[in-house]
Amino acid sequence: MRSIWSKDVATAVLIIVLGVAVLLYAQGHYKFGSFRSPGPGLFPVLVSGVLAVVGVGLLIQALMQGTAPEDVRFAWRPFILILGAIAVFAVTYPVTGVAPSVFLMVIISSYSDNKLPLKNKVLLASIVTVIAVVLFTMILGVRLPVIAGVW
Amino acid sequence: MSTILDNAMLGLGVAFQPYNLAFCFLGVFLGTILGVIPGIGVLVSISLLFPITFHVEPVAALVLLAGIYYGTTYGGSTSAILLNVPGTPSSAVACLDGHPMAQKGRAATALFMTTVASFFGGSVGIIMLMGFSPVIAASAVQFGSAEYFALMVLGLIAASTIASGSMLKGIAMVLIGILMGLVGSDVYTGTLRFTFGQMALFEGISIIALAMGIFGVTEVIHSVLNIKKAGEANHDLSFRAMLPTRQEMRDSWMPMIRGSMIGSFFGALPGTGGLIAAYMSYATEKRVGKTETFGKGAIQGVTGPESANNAADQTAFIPTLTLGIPGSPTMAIILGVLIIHGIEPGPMVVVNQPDLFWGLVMSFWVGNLMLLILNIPMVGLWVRLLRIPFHLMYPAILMFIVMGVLTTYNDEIQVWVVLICGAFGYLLRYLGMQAAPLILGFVLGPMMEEHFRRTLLLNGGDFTAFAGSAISQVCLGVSALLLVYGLFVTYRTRLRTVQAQRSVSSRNSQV
Amino acid sequence: MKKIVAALAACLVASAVQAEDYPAETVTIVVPYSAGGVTDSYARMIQPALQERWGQTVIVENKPGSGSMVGAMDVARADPDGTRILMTAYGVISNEVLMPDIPFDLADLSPVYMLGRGSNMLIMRPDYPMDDITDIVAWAKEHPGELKLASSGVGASPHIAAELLANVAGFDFLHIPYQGSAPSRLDVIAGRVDGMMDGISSVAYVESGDIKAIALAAEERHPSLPDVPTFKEKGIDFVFGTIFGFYVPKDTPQEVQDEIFAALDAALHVPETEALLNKQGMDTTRRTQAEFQEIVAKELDQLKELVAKGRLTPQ
Repeated sequence: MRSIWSKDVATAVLIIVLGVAVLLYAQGHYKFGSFRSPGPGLFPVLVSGVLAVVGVGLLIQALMQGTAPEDVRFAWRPFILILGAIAVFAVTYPVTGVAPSVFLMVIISSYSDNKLPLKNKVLLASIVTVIAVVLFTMILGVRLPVIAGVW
Repeated sequence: MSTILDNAMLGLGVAFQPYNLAFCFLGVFLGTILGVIPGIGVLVSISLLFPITFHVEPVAALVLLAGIYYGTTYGGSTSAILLNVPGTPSSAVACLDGHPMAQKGRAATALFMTTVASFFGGSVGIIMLMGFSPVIAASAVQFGSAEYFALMVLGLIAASTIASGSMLKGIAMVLIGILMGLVGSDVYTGTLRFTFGQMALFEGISIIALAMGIFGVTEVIHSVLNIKKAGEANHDLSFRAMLPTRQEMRDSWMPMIRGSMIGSFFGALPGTGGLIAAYMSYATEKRVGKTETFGKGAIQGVTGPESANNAADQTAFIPTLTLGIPGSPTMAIILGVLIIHGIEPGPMVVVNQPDLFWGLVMSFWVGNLMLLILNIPMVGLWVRLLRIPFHLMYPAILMFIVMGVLTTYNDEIQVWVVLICGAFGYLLRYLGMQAAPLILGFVLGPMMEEHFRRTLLLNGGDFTAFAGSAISQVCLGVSALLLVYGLFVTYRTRLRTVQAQRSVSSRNSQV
Repeated sequence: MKKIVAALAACLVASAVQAEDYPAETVTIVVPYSAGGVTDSYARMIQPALQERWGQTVIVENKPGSGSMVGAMDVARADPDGTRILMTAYGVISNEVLMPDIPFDLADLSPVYMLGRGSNMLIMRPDYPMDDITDIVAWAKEHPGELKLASSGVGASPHIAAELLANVAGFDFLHIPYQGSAPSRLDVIAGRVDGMMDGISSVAYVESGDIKAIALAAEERHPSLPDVPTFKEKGIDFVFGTIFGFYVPKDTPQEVQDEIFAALDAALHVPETEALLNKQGMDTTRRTQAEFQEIVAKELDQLKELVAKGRLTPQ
């Protein structure tokens, strides 16, 4: 007997949890009103309620079907590094301006694979940074600080 | 009929003035380039180039903006096909079959057929615009909140069938999309919902940040370690390789015709536009198409939605020009240009300013023609892009996404929105949920709520009002049929899988 | 190249302002709405004149978001040296009352120059049985909450106008908000709602017979609609219109504010511009800075009264 815990079951459970959570939150925070005079809570409650029901349907389906082979692995390394790179951009941009933050973002994200030696990573980051600055601030004329306080 | 021809000649005279022609080319060219770059959508392109229009003649200004408008729509599909990253949110549908085609080494054909389909759809849309503007404008008045609501139900049910696999998953994605669309201030009371005190969310999650996160960032994360990228396939760059096979041509005609019709219809309805048209067209083709290859590179899945998208782009001008109702933020900007130049859109615009109206309409056509001429030679160039190894490409894609969103909103908070949507998108992808239906739910969700509540408000809470007119009855009826049929199909395939598994396991136990 | 030089100049030159040589650097007009909107178009219209007078680059920057609050906050927090000027419509005033949670205080801005005041009119669906405002008000009083009036959105000026009218005339109506005035006008044309307060710009639909104009919320009749009475003529003391104005951070030196006033006045108080604005229904009566500030204060009181009476609900 294999575990009933498949990806489909997990998805269904997540959807049920999401639906119920939104429903409770909407009910607790926004006025439901009446059908004659609907409040801001009415539609979210209806939609999240239907979502939870659909989740139950998915759960039944998933349990009926049994387990399918897990084919896709969760790509932890790129997941963390790419999102991390974007986060670093968001944090550094207001302080340093566009150029340094794009440079950093490219360097960090390029660690998602091991195809490039550091020297080439730096080269790649420099090229991408130049493209960003030239395209956005010069060609498109967007007013953004390139290097904060200097340019 | 002769008056239409006269008017067309008048319009061609205006459109072919070298000055206007030059701006048309400029618009189409810039639009295509900006559309291909992920993160820079039509709205950004138009906003950035908008100030130029103050220094040129009104017709040239509009021609320029219109060129950018359909250039970006077209360019958006290019990156969707090549990279599986839609250049603009509205080209999300182009990923579904366009990218699998590219993975099979047929990128050039996919791009070529996109160009043909977009020209075809655009032309049909323009004919509608020429011949039926007043009629279409009049029928738009027939659509009240109840009718819109029914239409949106239909659109969303159709969207939930486009994903491969279980229809329930599609519905769940649509519903999550609707809920995400509700973030922000409520139209009726101004109540801030699901914003958790974040000012960046007061006006809702931005569509560009959402689309770039959920498609762009997700795709990058997924592909970094996944070597089966389109670039690995062999690409023949000869002109001959670009041409579709006779079978593909035969398979494309009807989808293009149906797509153009669907597109013309939805484009003319303010607020719906190209996105829903592309989804409806895809869902239609999937239903009527006699092929099992949808989602695996079916040409019908590329040509139908693309012609729908472009037809809708053209007919979207009907409500803007004749009713003064901008169906989208882009149309609102175009409307603004009209007003600045002293042109009051409304029922009289066609009568009072025929040279403007017809010049504009004909230049749309010239623009579509330019798009065709400009892009066929570019297909080879775009396909060459795929030869760049992905590990050199993805940092650049990331930069375009982040910079595009940053310049659109001038606010780094939106970069965080991209990040969160990217994480969410990757989770969905890992769980085997397709994000395409979510986008339509997101776009239609707020409108759906608006019409839902307005129908109740105007009718004192009477639910029968939702089926009060023939239009609503038809839409809701078809939705119900689609739903029942879709669930039935899902159930049947599940049953077969279960039976197959049982027979496999029984065989195994016999051994 | 020019752009780069300008950007360099903007970044490098950050010195204290002296009123006599204002402006010493690039001046930015912040428009808290998208490019292409009405407010944006006005800002762009005056940009060349300001540039010529000051000999400095003048940029129009769109900072839309949160019902114009993003742009307003941007200017409220800018250096008080007159290099960032806010050009905005009614939202900056109404949101002060209607969105108290937003970290923005109208007191952080100093109103400098009032471009003008839009006018509103009451329009009704073509088949509405009554034409006279007196009859409509009488009917609405007898049938509280039954008159269906649309608006372009909660807290938008047509909504506030309708609430003010109802307050002055003493009736209650059913408010049906839309997103933007065009869709709401379409439902008036189609007869799904009874009417709405709308700008003079919808005069084309009155001429084509798609809607009926009932009364004007202005001091005087409008030349495009000579037959449409004002509310005042009909004994209802109701004048209302969105206010287009320019604001700077509150600590900006008075001499700089005076120069901005003078520059704007010179750019806008010319016959052609006024004619264009008047055609769009704008009242361009010349007002001093003090008068503008008084008007803003009066609007705030009016809004607070509506809130106190429960006609408007702050969020």
